[in-house]
Amino acid sequence: MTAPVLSLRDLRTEYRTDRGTVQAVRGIDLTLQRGEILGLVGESGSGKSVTCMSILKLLKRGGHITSGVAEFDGRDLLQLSERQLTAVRGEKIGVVFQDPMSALNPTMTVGRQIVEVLLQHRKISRKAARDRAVELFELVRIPSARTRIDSYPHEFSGGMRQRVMIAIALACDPDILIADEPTTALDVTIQRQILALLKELRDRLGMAIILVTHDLGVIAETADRVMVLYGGQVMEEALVADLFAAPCHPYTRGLLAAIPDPRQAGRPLSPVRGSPPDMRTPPPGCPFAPRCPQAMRICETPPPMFDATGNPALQAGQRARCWRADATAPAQIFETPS
Amino acid sequence: MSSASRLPIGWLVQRVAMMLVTLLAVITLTFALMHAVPGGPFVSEKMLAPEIEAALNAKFGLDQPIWRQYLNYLGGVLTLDLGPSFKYPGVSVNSMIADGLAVTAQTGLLAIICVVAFGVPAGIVAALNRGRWPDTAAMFIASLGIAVPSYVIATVALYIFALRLGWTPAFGLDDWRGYILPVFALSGFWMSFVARLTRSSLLETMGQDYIMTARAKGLPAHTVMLRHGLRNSLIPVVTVLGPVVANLLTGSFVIEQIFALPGIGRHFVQSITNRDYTAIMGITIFYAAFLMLMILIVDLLYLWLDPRISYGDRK
Repeated sequence: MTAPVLSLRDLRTEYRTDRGTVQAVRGIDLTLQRGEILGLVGESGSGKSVTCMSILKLLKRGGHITSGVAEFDGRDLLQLSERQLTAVRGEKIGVVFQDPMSALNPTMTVGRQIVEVLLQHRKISRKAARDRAVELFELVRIPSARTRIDSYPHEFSGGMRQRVMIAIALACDPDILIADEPTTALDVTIQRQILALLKELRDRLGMAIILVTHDLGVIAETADRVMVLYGGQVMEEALVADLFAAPCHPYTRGLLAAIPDPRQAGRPLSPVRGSPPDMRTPPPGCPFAPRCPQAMRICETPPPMFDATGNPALQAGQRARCWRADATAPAQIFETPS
Repeated sequence: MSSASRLPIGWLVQRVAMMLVTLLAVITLTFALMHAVPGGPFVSEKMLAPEIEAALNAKFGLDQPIWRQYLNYLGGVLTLDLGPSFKYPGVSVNSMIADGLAVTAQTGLLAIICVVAFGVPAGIVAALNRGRWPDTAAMFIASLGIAVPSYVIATVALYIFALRLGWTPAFGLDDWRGYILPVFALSGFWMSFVARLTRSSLLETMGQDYIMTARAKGLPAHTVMLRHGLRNSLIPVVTVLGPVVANLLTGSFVIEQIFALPGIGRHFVQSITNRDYTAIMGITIFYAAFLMLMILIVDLLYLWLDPRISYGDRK
């Protein structure tokens, strides 16, 4: 395996609010290989968006990274000053946000919004930047690029705006594209097109993509590898095919079971019962334990990540943060209900 | 699409027509109210001989039925002639407004410049330093400026700077220093108001998603603030600036009284006590028309500030 393009170790991020400190991310490790699409999946509040925004220190007011290392290009991004980070943001790492309706500046033509990022990072003329912007528009397949470039965001549909966002994120040929719920605000057919576009661009340009979503369908369709997040921690990670074929963590299994199956129409949906923990006072052990149908007494102790070593239930590269994945545990612990 | 091509001619024509209708309503209402008030221009302490009063009434047309007077007046307004003053023989209301405005507009214009030149930057600085001392200091001063009435500011400033320290003259505009206190007193409130508004609007804008996009592009913080934040946060500021301009340019009676400035505000109040019918009407009409014009300009500025706004000429 070649060196990963990004490696995140023990990231911890919290939000200090008037009503207490929210521990949004609690020790996340992540490695991103060159050219791969890594999916981060989880429900709202699981820490998936905060994890990616922490990489570039793009946190909203009150957000603080309390520990961790984000190794990229031989440097730790989390140690960089705001000024040093401006050379990474938009240049080495591009970001596509969730809602293309609000993520573009409404009072600026889309062309200017692309030209702006080019002029910031490249020593090129305004004219050259404009030509490049047209090229980028063609790359993300916006029709009549040359004329559309002078339009304002409100003159585009949602899908087209998201294409504009992607063009902005890709303007400087980044090594990594962070796509934070890029299709959540779009309707299903447009969703398909945008995902297909992301995949195609990855194949053509070779950048790695971190794809954040709450939709396992999006993961199945687009990602190579997936990490399931819950309560600010990674519950399970695996190649996409392995995760769908043999999910290990009870939370993952619950999520997969909750997907409606059209072949079994009429069958009642089986949601994951309960609600996510209050991250101001997360459970002491496994964050999922309070909702877990298979919780045991030991689940009050935080489980480590278990990998496939000695555990036939896990595939190579698959890891799960669950005591049930502990291949060395004495059998009787599984018999102690909590 | 450039702003020029978005200039909505049809809308503009409609707007001007609506302004004329509004103006007619203002004229009619003021006319009715004015005549409903007891007294008249020639009623004063020393009784005029009845025949002289009758002659005066006849000369100014006050002996005619009310509806006739109204129509006569409207005719005058149509030809932009606001009539003669009833109180000051030989002075036309047009020239009265022109003279008063010459004084008022000078201080008013300077006050507007102060509001924009100090209010907006103070708001920006406060927003940039949210929660730190420049913010606290600016907002403390702005709260004072809003809470303390202008005549108190004017009187205190007059006492300290003109009487005690002698740095500025106590009245009149003969010297450039004479402008300082009236302009300060006039602009104090609006400066504070605009500073607070700019701050809150900018902070709100800075919480928008596209600001995060701008940061994610790798733009430096000040570029994010100035290029992406400021323009979008100026819309509410421009909204209040229209009426503020009208307000300041048409003067403040209190300030003009305190600093003994022969401005239009003073004329207005005096004309009411004098029952100087034409002067009351004229100044009211002038103020109404000016205010509507300012609001129209604000609406046109929106087109330039926010490309999403259109006034229905397109499509």
